[in-house]
Amino acid sequence: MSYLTIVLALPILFAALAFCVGSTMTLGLVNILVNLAIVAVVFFMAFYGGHHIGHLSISQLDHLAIFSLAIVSLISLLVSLYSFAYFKYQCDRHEDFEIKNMQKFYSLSGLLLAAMLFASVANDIGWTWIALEMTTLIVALALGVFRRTVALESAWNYLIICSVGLILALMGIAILLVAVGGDINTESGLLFSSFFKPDLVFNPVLVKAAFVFILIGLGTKMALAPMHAWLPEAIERAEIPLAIFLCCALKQVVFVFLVRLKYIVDHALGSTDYTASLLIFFGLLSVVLAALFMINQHNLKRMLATSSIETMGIAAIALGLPYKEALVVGLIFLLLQSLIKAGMFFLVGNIQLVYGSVEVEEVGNTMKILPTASSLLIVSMLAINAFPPFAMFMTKFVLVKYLTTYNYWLSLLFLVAGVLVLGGYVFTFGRILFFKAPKQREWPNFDYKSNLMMFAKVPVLLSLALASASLIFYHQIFNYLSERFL
Amino acid sequence: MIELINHLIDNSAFYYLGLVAVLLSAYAMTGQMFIMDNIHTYSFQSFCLFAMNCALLRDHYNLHLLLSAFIILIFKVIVFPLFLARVVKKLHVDDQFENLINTQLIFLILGLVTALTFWIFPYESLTALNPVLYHAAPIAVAVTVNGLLLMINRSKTMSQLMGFLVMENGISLLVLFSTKTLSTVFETALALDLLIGVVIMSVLSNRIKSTVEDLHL
Repeated sequence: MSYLTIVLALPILFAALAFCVGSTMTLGLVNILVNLAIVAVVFFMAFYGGHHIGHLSISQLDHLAIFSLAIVSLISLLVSLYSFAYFKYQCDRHEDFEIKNMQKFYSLSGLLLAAMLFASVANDIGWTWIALEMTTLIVALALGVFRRTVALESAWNYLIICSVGLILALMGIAILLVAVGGDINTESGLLFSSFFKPDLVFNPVLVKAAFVFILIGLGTKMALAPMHAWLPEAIERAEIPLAIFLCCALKQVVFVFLVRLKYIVDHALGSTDYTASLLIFFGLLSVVLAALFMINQHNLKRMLATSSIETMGIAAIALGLPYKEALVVGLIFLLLQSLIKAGMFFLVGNIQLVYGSVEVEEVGNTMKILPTASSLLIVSMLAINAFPPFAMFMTKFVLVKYLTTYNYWLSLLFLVAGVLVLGGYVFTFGRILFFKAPKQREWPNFDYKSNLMMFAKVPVLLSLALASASLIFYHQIFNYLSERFL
Repeated sequence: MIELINHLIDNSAFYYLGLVAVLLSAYAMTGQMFIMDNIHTYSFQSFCLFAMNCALLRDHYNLHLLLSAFIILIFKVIVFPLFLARVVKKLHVDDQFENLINTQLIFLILGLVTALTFWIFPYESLTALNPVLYHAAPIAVAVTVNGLLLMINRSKTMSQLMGFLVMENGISLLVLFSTKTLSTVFETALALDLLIGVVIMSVLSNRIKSTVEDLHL
């Protein structure tokens, strides 16, 4: 059995066995163990190279795949640590979190993890697309597990919007096939590598049309503006672990798929100009719109979701920039963003546990009530906004440098948007950290110093520690990725 | 009759008739104001797709095309329309649609989109490859856009579902003619789409309906 099979089989096995476990605590513990095993195997594969680890016939383990596996498995491990404490508290306080629903939720999160891991390593465009469509289906079901009305409506909207997006992406892929004049034999599958055969002749007009469909389709799933509307709504109504999967792992997997398809389109057109202009346009639009929406957000989860629209915008810009190093920096940026944002979601989750709400008007004086979480929130805010000495500073600095070389005015717009995002964070966090909220409830009867609450801080510290360690090892990470991508 | 069909297939007229029928049925769905009419037209559109699939099967027999024909006939032509009709009755769905955009304007947009797609797809290279593809590809894109407009133009969940299924038919049409051999992957992808489109959305709308009475079904 290859290591890759283990990575893919473990979450599926967990999803199947979740229904046999009768306690939320045990489910949480098994989930942590499964995720620990997956992370260990993924990092073993990352450091011991592709040829040692075996492969499945429909998979490839290039370095982009390993990178995607690393993000997904790390985030999943952190989420499993947090879920253990989070769901224990929710189970004690709400009837919706009965064991039957918890089994369903854990099972669906196992399937979601398996689908994301498979989408990361599949070497076939069709199979990757299917895995992404599976994630849409699973997330929609997971959103509706606790049968809350608003969550069901969000599940419906999510399913409709993302399915349509993926259908458009499939249309783009089919047009790409028309563009090669049907010279690719798809009987045994539609391999990424089959588009790089030297004797293929592409029709440039159709390739361009195909990329528009692909970008709009995958952009919808990645929540690039103006196809982003589903994300804040879904995140606001999703449970914290699911929200983290959506913002910090799933979108990154879709991004990796877009990177692969972009390479095909660039190869077909013989130039990066066309894809660059579209990616930079949509990326910058996302950054600017997200920056405008960040000001005066009324809900903490919505604010983080809006911030992740900006993140994907920056990643799209990095992918579009016609400098090879920009993509490497963009990937490091995505990794760091995922880690830090996951930490911020954990903290917002803790606030939700204590206050029973994440509405800005109902949460206040957190610095007094939750001093550690509030301090960590400030640190995370600085880290995510690329303040030195966090590694994010290095990535954003290099990206701005490349963007300035590409177009001075665009970089100016990018910087202004960055300042607005920071302003949005400072304004919202300032209100909840230091001031009493207008509709703040009575002091909640909540034992926030209990062992479980302490446990809930572990993943926050871990995510921040990993993000901080990235500064120390920034050059090693950059060199590791550069050697493999450039 | 069989001789006539064989003759039509031999000189590609059968495909052209099928393509026109698919396009016109998509237009018809935009114009129709009742959900049951939409479901019947969808079934007819899927039957046209099935007929073209069978014609292709006659010329180039392979297992994938056979499987694709089977999926279309069983699910799209028979099972899903029946299932949807049942859901409509069970949930007491309001039978009439309300268009958000003026119908004439929608038809104008559809006409322009169809013309634009014919203009984009290159005549020489596609006809050299397969003369039918030159007509199939733009019509497939136009049908997909038509489905998207159906979803945007009507706010009710059932009409969004119908729009989604029309989009899916557009993709099926393009995939059918764009590859020399259909792949299992595409069949799986389309089957998954159908699963999402009909089963999940119906189940979800049923659950929402049981929770919120005022949902616009």
